[in-house]
Amino acid sequence: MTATAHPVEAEDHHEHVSDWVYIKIALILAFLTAIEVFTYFESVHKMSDELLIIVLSTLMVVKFFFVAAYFMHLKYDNAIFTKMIVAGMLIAYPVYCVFAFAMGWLPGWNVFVKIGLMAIPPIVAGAWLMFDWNGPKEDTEAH
Amino acid sequence: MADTALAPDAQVEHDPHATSLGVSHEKLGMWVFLGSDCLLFGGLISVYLLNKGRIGPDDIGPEDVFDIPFTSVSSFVLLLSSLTVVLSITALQRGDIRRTKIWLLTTAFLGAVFVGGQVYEFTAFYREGLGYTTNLFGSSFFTLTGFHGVHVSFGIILLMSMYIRAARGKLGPAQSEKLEIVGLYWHFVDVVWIVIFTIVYLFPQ
Repeated sequence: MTATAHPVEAEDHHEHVSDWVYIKIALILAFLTAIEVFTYFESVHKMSDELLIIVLSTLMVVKFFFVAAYFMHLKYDNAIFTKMIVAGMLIAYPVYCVFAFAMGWLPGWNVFVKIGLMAIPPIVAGAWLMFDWNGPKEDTEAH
Repeated sequence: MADTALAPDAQVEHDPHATSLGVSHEKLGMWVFLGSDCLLFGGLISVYLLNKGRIGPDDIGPEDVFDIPFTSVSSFVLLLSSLTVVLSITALQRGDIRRTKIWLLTTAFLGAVFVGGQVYEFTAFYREGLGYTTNLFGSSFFTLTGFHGVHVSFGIILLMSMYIRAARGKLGPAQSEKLEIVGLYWHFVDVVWIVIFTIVYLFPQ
């Protein structure tokens, strides 16, 4: 018997999260955005471009995952949705980076910094994906 | 024997709630769409990064036109709309139709404010001399942010269609997954903007 021989009803049992959790997440996101905007001021621009890009990229990734995990319910939903979106991005991001570097983006940058910029986000995302690979809602046995 | 083996598949075909994956097909379909949309925006962002510096010494560049405080306010507005849409979903799951409608309208309004801000920004850039075909920076910038604006506009239409369904009594707790799917689209538009705002506006030029 194959898996397709056991169709099961679509999951309809969400872990309901209180509104207050969403409000707290929104406040965290607003705070992170405020930090990002703060980096625009000239005083912070004394940072090297490399460091500024690393700080901004980290904040961007953290915000992205807060929205995806809580607002888009990936933290509570079936793990297949997470696999679907993150696996695609894990493949796409380095491909676009290689393309961009090959076409001359950031020509003066050290090659190891470029490799780090290309590899760190997929590694962090991949680690998170492995950590939460099965997800809390993996029990898709027939009801 | 073959007929016996095919029977469950036939059941899947006829029962909209039966699924071999144990997840909703509609929701999975939306995630697949969002995954493909990631590739579209990934391509547009890459092209922008490549082209933003390919301008002549006297050409208009990013630092000549960007108004970071204004765009920051727009970003906060879109971020806030992600909260309001999720509040509309939880209200619907509780069966509170009145609050669902209020939060849906609020989200659509915030989305409209964001699109209005983008139209204002585009107009201001044009008056400063940056048109779609002025240089490579202008072409890639307007294409990227314009595509995002179209996504937000389409999201507003989806939200208003949900509002109309709720107003006609055709959206209740039993149909909350429909609103959840629209919410997924809206959050995706928000996360794309998180990336665009950081890379296009805040990265050192």
